[in-house]
Amino acid sequence: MTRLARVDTTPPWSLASAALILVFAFIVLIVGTTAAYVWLGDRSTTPLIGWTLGCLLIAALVWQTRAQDRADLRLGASSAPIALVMFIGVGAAVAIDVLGLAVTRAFLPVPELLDISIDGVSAGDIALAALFLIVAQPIGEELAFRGVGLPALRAALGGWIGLIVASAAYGVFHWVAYTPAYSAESGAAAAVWYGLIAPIAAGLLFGGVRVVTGSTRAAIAAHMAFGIFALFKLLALVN
Amino acid sequence: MLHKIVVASTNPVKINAALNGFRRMFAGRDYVVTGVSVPSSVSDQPMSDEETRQGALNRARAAHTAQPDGDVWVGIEGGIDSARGVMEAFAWVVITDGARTGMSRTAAFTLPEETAALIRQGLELGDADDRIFGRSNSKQQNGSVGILTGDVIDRLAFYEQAVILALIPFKNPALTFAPHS
Repeated sequence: MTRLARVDTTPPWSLASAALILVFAFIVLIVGTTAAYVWLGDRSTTPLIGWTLGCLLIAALVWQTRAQDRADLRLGASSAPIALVMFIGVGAAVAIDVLGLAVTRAFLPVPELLDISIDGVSAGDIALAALFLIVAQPIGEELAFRGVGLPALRAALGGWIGLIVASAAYGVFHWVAYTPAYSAESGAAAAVWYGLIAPIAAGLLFGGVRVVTGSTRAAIAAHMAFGIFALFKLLALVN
Repeated sequence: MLHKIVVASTNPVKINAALNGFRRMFAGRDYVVTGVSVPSSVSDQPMSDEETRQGALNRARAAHTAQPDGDVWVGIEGGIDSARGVMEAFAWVVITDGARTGMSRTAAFTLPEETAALIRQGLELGDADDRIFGRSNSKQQNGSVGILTGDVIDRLAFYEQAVILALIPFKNPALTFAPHS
C-alpha cells in the first residue's frame, strides 16, 4: 500500500503529452478497425482483426514517440518473477469474473470476443482471439496506459489518485472501444460490468503491478494472464 | 436455491431474454444464466415454421449435452416462412429441464419485399437487415423487429414473451401438456 501511494520517479514526458498519447491511441484503434472493415467487409472476425491491428499500431505509436526516452517506459526486468505475476493475473481475472457473475447473473464472453462466439468458433477464430488477447492487446494497451499514462498521472496527481484516474481512463477507453458489442438489450448490468467496471478493476491491477514491480513488462504479463483466462472462458462457452 | 439456466447461444440478447423471462414467470427465485454456442443442425436461415422449431429444439438438446450441470436449457431459433405470398419472420423458443419440455412461438411479422428479396438470394435475415438498413450486427442488437417497429418492440421483448409462454408447463406442473414430437 505504501508503494502504491509513493511516487518514486517522474517521467520525462508531461501529463499533457501522456494524455495526447492516450487520445491518439484511441484514434489509432479506430483507424485499425476502419481499415479492417474496408479491407474485409462486415464479418464476425472483422472487429477482432481491426482491434488487433489497432493495438499493434498503438504499440508502434508509443515506441516511435518515445524513441528518445524508451528506458523510461520501464520495459526491463520486473522485481517480481513474471510467472508469479501471471499467476496473480489469472487469479485476479477469475475473481473479477466471479464478482461479475454475482452482479450480472450472466456468464458472458468478454465484449471483444462476442462477435466470433455467436455462431461457434473455428480454429482460426481461436488463433485470432489468442493473437489479440495474449499479444496485441496487452502490449499495445500496457505501453500506452501503464508505460506512458500511469507514471505521468501519478507524478501529477499523486500515487493513489494517479492510479485511480489512469484506471478510470482505461475503463472509459474499453467502454467506448469495445462495449458496443453489448447493447442495452444485453442487460444494463452486463453492459456496464463487462464494458466498464471489469476493465477499471483490471486497470487497477495492471497499474498496481506496474508500480509494485517497477516494470511495464510485468504489467504486460499480468494483462496476458487476463487474456489467457478470457480465451479459456470462450472455449468453455463454445461447444 | 440457485437455478442455472443454460441458453444455447452466446448472443447476449437471447441470454438476457431468457433470464428476464424466468425472473418474471418465477419471481423470487435466484438465477444464474450462461450461454453456450451449439449448432442448430438446421440451415443457418431456417425457411419454414417446422425447421425453425426443430432448430430451437436441437439447440436446447445440444446445450443439455454440452453443459449437463444446468437445471434448465433454452433454445431460441429465429426463422422465416412464406405463406399467402408474404415472407414472415418469427422465432421458436424451446425450454427443457430434461423431464418436461415447453415450447412457444413468438409473434410473427411481415418482412418488407426488399429484405425478402435478399433472403431469397441466400442471405440470412440479419445480414439482409445490415445491408438494407446500413447497420452492423443487427443480430446482436434490436434485430429486424426492432428496426421495423422503431424499437416499439425490440428483440429482447420479442423473445422474452415467448420464453414466458414456453414456461407455462413449468408454471403449471399439475396440468398435463401433450408432449411435442
